[in-house]
Amino acid sequence: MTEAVRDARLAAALWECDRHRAALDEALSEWRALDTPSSQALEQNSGLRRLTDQIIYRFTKLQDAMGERLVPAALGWLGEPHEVWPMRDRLDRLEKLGYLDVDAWLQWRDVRNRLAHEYPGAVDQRHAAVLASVAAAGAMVAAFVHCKAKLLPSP
Amino acid sequence: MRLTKAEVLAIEAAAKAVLPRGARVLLFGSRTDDARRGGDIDLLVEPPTPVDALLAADLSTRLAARLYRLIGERRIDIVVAAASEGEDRLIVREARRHAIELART
Repeated sequence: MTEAVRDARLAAALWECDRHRAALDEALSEWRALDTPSSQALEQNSGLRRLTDQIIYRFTKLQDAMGERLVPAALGWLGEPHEVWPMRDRLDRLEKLGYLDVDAWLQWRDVRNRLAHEYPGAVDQRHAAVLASVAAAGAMVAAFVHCKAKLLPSP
Repeated sequence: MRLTKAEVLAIEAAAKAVLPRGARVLLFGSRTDDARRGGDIDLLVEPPTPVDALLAADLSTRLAARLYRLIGERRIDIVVAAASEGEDRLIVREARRHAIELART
């Protein structure tokens, strides 16, 4: 792979992640301007539901874009022979180089897996899952910003 | 019980790393049945004192993430309920009927 191709792949991955990061930042700012909503408010207020859906959607998209695009592009750009590595080895290498924290990444995976459960009748569990995903979304934005700054340090 | 030795050791290590002292982890669901195949790893976590839904979600996530690190990402379903709690959730009542203790912290 030529240097130009590596640069282009990294730029494309960062651009894609940044789109989700910007939308997530906007939705999270709106969320932070509110008092933490009760479980009842989250169940009944359609505006709040739309906001949490937006956060959860972008949280999922940012994690996908980071995992499927940015992780391989960053490793390629760093000259790491990552093509045949499983995801865990890719994450471990980036953690070793200071680009991300694998524990946090795996926690976001669990938060996401938990969102797939519907928890019928369990209002408190649904509420906890939504609050955990909002917290995880904020942490993921910070992690992406850190990773991007390390890949493209300001002149 | 259908867990490998490595999986049991990983659950024990993960529990000791992330759960408070005095907690128990039990296996329930299809993995307790030798006659069945596949299925999620269903774990019942009993913290020493009752926890609210937010703390329960946090404990579950930290335990699952540690297990992903030790044995790879699997379908792991974690239910949290203190042993002292009068439990109205069907899943917890069912879990307790056939649970097998895997770890204590």
